[in-house]
Amino acid sequence: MAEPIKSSQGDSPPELRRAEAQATLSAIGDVSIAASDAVGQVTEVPRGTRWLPLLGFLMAIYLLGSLAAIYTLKSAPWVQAFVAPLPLVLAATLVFWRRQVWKFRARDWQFKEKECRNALNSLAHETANGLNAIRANLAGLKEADSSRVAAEHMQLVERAQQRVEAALEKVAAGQPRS
Amino acid sequence: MYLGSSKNRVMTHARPQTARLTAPLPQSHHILEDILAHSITRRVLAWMTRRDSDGKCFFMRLCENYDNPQADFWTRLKWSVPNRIIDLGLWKAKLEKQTMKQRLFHHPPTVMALTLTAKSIATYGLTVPQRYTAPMFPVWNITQACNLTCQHCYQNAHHRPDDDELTTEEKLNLIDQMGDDFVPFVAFAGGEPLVAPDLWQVLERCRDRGIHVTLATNGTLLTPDMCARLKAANVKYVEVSLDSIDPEVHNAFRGQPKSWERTVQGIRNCVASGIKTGMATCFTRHTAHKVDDTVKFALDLGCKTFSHFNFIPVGRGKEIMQDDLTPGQRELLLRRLQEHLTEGKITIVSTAPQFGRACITYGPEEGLFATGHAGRGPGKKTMVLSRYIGGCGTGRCYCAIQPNGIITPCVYISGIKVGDVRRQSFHEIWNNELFDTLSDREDRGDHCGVCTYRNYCGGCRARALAYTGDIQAGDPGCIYNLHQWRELTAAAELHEAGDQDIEFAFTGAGKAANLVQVAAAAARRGDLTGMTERDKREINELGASLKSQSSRFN
Repeated sequence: MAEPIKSSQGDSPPELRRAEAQATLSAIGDVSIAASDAVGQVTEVPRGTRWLPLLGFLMAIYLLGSLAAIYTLKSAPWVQAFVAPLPLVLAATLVFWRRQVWKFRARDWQFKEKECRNALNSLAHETANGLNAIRANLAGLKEADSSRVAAEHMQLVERAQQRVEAALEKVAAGQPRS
Repeated sequence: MYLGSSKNRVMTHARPQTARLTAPLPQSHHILEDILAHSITRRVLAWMTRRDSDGKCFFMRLCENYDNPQADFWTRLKWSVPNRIIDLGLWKAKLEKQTMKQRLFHHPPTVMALTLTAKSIATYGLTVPQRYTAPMFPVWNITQACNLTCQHCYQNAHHRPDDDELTTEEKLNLIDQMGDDFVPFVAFAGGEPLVAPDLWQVLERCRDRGIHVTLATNGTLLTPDMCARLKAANVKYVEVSLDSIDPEVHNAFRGQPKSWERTVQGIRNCVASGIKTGMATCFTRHTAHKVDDTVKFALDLGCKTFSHFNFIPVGRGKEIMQDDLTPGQRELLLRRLQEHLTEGKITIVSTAPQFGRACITYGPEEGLFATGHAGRGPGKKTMVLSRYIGGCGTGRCYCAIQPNGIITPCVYISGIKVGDVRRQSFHEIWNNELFDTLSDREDRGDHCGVCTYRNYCGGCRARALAYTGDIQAGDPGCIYNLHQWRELTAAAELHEAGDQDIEFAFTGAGKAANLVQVAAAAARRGDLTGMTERDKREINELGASLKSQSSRFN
């Protein structure tokens, strides 16, 4: 599961969307509502567990453990000060590693769940609006007073039907990622 | 003074609603909604928007002093911590500092708009749609005088100003009151605003108060000198009405030969002067099929915005009611406009609240959406925003000021008078029961009351009133209210056949009730000064019409 389902209709290119990233009060001039920008959300794919932080943690905790050992085992030979903390440091690193793994899994699950929800919302958006468009234009078709108007309504019904079909096909194929 | 009677004009019986024809939509939600709805946030916003002795509030000062190189050392030091917090927020939200500075922090109308919004949330809470403590953009019909006599004029404008129009002093005082209420935008219309002799003084005061000014004109007086003067007066946007790209149709509509040529030249002059220019067109069933050519014409003239004006049968427009678009024609028209909006070559706005709905129905999920009168924006976040600010703004974030200082819910609803700036403060008038009722979209008749798009649309209240006499009825112009349209058309056909009393049920009932109530209220007070010349004239006409009709039945 991933990206929201896109419409079958032509979407505006990203650069245009960027340029339009403001709701202008056009009826009353070119005034930006920057709130429209502020409500934007940043979603990032969570990064997997990596070795570098783990190694960093190991080094830091080993250094701290050794310093603590040097301080507490003043009379003991210096080798002991470096060996004594090792079991504890390894255990702590293991715990840290497992925590990182679970943290990643939780975030990954959360991200996927959010993506699923977005995809479902997109599907609901496309189908609901497609159906509403069909209903509106069927009503328009009934009252159409000329063949030109009727043809235009019919064209919109067909487009809406294609839109619903496209959304459903993506789900049926199990590939919401376009 | 009209407050008590306004309640009576809102019918209290349960309105007939139809079965819902629209499928439910998934609700877009944003975390900001939760934050803004919280009681602590409301308290913070109330504190931030409390006006001090200088007429400014903390929020305005915060914006003013954000990264302001012109401020002295101590001021910069004083605001350095809030500035760093804002920087951090912008960095976290991945927003560009310079752009935000230009578009938000150092853009007075935007700051005023956000202040007003924050104050409204503090006062009313986060409501759907958002109710405002002052209008976001009042339209001020500054004079009744006009150099044209257009067939569809909602204002019944004529060549001379009315005797009871506001004086210059009263106008300036009103601007000050609006400034105190953080009203960010004012649109001047008329009549023809450019024939008002004191327009320039009013514009100057608006500039002093940091109010963003726009102008709606017929364009015939837009000479290069006039445009230069408007630019110097800080007018940010001029909207010129052109009814058709066919000169003959436009001239017939406008009641003057050569007005098309003068208007088009006016648009050219305005574009050349560097003022952002828009073209506004009111389509009828004779011109709707030319929508693509009309938009293209606006684009060729260099207009940045194309504005579709919904036809509303009021004023002289009542005489050409038969030219109104059918719901099906309006649907196709809005669909075409939505395509032009998506194309992105020109900004498209429409006074038909269904345009917001059409953008959602026909547009791609991440495409451009219109938020009713308030412009457009991309994708889901605009959908979230338009749930609060989109659709019909009548009495919620918008109102009309008549030339004589009477406040009405909309320029197209001149019959319902909620107050008079000569007798009450602007703030006092705005907070009235009728406007509270208009902000509630649950209590609407026909399909408007059950529609899944009602938060993005709400139906045109002026059309509902003009056609049914009930301001909260369904909008008969919407395709989902087709049954209502058929009933009204059938009633009109009966009327054509000679059934005169249908006229009152069809168009006159609301108007008659309003005028009678205004007259009764004035008579009760023993004071007829609240009645305008126009009211008295209309009452006389109504009386004559009643008399002639009763004689038919006798």
